[in-house]
Amino acid sequence: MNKRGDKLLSIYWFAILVLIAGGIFLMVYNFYNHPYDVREIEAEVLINSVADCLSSEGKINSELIYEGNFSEEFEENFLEKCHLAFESEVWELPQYYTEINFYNSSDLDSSVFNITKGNKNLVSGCVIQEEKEYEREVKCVEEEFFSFDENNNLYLIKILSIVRKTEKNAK
Amino acid sequence: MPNKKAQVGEIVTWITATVIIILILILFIYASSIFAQKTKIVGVKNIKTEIKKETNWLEMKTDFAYQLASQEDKLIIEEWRETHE
Repeated sequence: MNKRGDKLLSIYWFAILVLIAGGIFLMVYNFYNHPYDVREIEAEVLINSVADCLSSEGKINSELIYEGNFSEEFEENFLEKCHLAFESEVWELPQYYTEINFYNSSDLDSSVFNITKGNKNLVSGCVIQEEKEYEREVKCVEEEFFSFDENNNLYLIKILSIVRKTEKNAK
Repeated sequence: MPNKKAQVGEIVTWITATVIIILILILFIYASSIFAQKTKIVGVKNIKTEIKKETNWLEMKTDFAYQLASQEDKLIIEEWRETHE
């Protein structure tokens, strides 16, 4: 008997359906609109590439160290020697930074040689990354391993790798 | 006329239900946003420690060095490993 009431109720039900469908659409859109952040893996891959260039089968690259002396020439041409390219047409500034420190086994606190390549401005990002507001600015990964030179001197090699690419990996 | 109060009562119920539905939808949309931020970080830190140790490339390099090391150097490596585990 209440036909007008039934019509109003149908319109209301339709509106609720549209509202719920819209809500589900927004949830799915929200979730899939976030990019995957692969910078941590990228930083690890960079570290592995650098480590492979510096040391093989427990021995440091002979081009890097010879008769106990580290090669400045290797340090200057590090990117070419290790087949790394930090520059890109897509990015205005380099989005990578790597820092390698060598420590003699007799003193694991003092670095005897140092190689730094890439965008040095990214280093400060590792410090402020600890604040929640800036945790997605850069991804920093540091790894270390041991290796020998040709004279069987043991060295600890620390590699710090930083990847920025914030616009592509974080929202 | 006699159904006026019942109709008003029903409408109030539906308004309340609509408000609750909207609030739940807002909550779920917000939760999906938070969930997306937390789960879309691809890294190796989530992997179990045992598996990570076996597949860690730099750990294997240290193992190589350990095999070539003298007793004194082996002690240095072992001590370093203990402090870094």
